[in-house]
Amino acid sequence: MRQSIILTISLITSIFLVDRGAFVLINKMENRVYQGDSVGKINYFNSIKDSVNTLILGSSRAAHHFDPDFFEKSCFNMGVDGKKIAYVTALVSTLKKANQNIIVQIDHDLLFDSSYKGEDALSLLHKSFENKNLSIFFKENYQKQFLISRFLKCYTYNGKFLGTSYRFVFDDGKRRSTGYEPLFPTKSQKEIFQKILVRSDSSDFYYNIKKPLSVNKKTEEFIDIIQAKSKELGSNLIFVTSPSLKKVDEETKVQTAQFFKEKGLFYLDDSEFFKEENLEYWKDFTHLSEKGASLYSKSLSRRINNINFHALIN
Amino acid sequence: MSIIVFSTVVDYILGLQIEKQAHRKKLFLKISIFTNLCLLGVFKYFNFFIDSWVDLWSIFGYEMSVSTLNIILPVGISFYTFQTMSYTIDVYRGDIKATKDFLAFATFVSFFPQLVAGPIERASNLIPQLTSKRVWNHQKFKDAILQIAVGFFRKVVVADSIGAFIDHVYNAPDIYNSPTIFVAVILYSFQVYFDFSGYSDIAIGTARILGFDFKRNFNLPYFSSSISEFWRRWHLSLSRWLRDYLYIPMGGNRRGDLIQYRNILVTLLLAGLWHGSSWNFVIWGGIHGLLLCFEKRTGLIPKNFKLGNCIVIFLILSLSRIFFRSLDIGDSFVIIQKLVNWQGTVVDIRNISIFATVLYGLLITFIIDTFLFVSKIDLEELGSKIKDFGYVALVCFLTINIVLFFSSSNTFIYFQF
Repeated sequence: MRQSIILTISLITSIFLVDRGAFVLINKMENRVYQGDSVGKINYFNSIKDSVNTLILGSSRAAHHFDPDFFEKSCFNMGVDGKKIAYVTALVSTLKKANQNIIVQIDHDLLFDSSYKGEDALSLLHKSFENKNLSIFFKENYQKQFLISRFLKCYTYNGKFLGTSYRFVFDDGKRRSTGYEPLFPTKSQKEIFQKILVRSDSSDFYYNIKKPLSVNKKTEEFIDIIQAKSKELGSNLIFVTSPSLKKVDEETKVQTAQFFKEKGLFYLDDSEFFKEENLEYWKDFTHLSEKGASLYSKSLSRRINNINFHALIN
Repeated sequence: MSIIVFSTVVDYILGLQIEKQAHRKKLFLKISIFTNLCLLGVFKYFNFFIDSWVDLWSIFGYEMSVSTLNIILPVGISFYTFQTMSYTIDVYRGDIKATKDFLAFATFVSFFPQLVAGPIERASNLIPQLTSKRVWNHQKFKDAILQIAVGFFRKVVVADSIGAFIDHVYNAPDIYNSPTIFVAVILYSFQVYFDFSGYSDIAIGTARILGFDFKRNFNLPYFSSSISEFWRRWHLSLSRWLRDYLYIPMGGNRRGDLIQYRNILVTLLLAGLWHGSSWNFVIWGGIHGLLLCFEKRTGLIPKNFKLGNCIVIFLILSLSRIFFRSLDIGDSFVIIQKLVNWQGTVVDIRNISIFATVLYGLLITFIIDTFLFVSKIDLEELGSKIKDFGYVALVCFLTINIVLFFSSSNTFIYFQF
């Protein structure tokens, strides 16, 4: 029994020390990476977030749909694949610059998705060691994961190590200027999408949102945090649902608009921006091609430039 | 819950009666087998039989309207019913004594490490361990920790990452090109192996820490040079169960070639059906039965390991698993058609990060498995064979890798069976 206790203590101590060593090593590499979605983009975002005038935040539908070149020179698109409102909230909690324009891409289905728990924000957990606001955000919203990360620091780099190592070795020095990631569908991708469309029925073109509609409390909490932070910094906050081939019914659209109106938030529902079904504008059901994104960004930037926020909110 | 309690109580009583009333023991055994098969029949196969019956009549133009039951498959039913059946059969054969200790019997049926996905333990192995005093054993503890670490790596790093990569292909095979489908077919073989063997390693290791020795469930199956050898290395607790309680009682290989082929086919068809209530599994079992018969007939079973055979066998196993993994038979044929009419040159990787994790995980597991195969050491004993520094370094390495690469998927393939 004594041997086993000694072995257990040795294992725990060794794992703790190796974890610390590995974390320092990965952290050193990671801090020099400015490319790639999982770590590079957030590093670049951190380096410019408090100097740009306009920030675009959200999922892949933000990353691929909003071309900052159409907005203004000082604009950065921080859309990241697979990330949603929790991730956006964590990013907003780190902002310091006053009077920015913050554009948040949000989808109808997320607002009413009862299963959403906001785990997408956890991919920023590694940054909580460097940023006090982020640390508080995780401590308050993700207690379990926060505690694990304090014992096993490498946990915060889950799924990031290979990407970081690759980028560290092969970084060509290019920096993301706008964060925009245009999609140029290849021939085979176009063929796959065509096949999907052929076998799709009408239900594939609609989000299956559970009725009666009920806003996810967690999502609402995140929106409230974003709103409070924007107010504190005097920033202009806009929520946008960007174009999609997947639609929602009228009731969902009305309730979504109503939700934002009641919160005193500015909201644009552009889900049906494209009236014609031109497949050249799409990569798949929910992502625009570069061609579609350009047309959309041009239109959105014009509309946003014409908004008098203070008049609208008041 | 009530099903496992029912099965436990029934087989506990019947076990005692088989021993007590020797002249009626056959009757009690029949009741036990009938009861367990009924449980399986109702809760696992009822809808399958009804649907198949309706489909059969529809072939002849009769459209039947029969309602199916809205049943949720009780977790682990295939495993614990086989355990309780083996108990009453062993008591009937006189291989073991019926236990009077109800608590020990109930623990044998519902012991938590192996309840939901095996290994299917024998009463002769587990009940004596449950009733005797256990002594702390450092060697076993050391072995168990390493086995659990390897199990977690196999499951949460390799199998789950592969799942994240291939699920989209199997969910819609018609939209992917041939190279993508081929890679998915190959990777599924690794997924199912590392998912189930990883789970078994965790279960066996956990039980070992508590002082219980389970029989090993996998023995490096992809180092098999023949299909027969594969079945002596894959899901050992099930294949031994089928051998001892089905294949041998039917005559095994003692009554001539034809009877032996029949026995092999029946055993493998039922092995397929055991996995799930779908014709896909029956076809998968049937293919394996035919392959085994073919091997026996042609004598294509090498005595020693042959790399070439090993690769060919792996490819055959992977192809047969198309039926095992596909959502339905239609999809299976779509996949086969795509592989036959090869089109395309580029694999649709989708997420390069996940794919890189898959390759890295496979490399590490390949090194571990090759080491075990070459050194002829069982994973169950590896921990105590390594010196302390190397042992700590290996467990640390595995733990940090698990933390860095685990996939958030939480499905277990064999939980559905």
